[in-house]
Amino acid sequence: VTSTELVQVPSTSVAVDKSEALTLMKLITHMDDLDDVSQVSANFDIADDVMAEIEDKL
Amino acid sequence: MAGHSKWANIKHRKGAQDAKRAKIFTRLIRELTVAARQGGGDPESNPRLRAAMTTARGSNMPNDTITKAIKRGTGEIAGMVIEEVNYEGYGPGGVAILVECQTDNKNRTTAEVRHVFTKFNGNLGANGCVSYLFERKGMVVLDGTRCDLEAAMDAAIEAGAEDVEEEGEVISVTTAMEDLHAVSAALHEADCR
Repeated sequence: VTSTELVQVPSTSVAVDKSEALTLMKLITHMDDLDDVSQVSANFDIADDVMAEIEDKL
Repeated sequence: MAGHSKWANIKHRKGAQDAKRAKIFTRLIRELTVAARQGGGDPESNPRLRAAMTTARGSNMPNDTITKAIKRGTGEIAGMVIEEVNYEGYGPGGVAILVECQTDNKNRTTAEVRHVFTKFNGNLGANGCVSYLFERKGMVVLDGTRCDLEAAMDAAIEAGAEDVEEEGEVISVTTAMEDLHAVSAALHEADCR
């Protein structure tokens, strides 16, 4: 078990294309890095290949 | 659903190289305090506190620190007042974003959160604009390279889990909030570590 936690699970998701995926993931990462933030949840759906591509740029 | 587990996936992999231990502790302590304040200091009747304690122990937080954080929440020890504040907004592409914060200074937090939204083409919305899209669930994340998917699935579902998903090297198990403890315990017992 890597982690056990309470999360916010979205009921629907929004497809995000390549052009917006990087900015979105940057937003989420930076938000998560703020000291007062305990959890960030979002309802994005990003294709695996796009995700793999942007992951290194975060 | 899909989006969420991907994010869990990234966090998990990033976490492996994450040296920000102090920050993780700060977060866990705040979560313990807020959970105890809202639902009382008894983990048996407070699932949120129980989850926070499990996570804290999993991160090797000393028991003494855990107890103090809980007592601060119940008011047995006086301390800084930490409030829980949620922010809701939209990111690029109209993605709904829910930001949960625990802070001793709301003005500072609001400014910081708004700044991040604005900087990355998002915007901070009114309270309630996206929170209805989310439901609080328990989630147990397993390392798929060190644990058998089928064994995990059997144990998890037996204990009342709602969903088991495998994505790359990560297996994520979703449960109702109150079943989190039982499912997590069952997975430990099934040797899924």
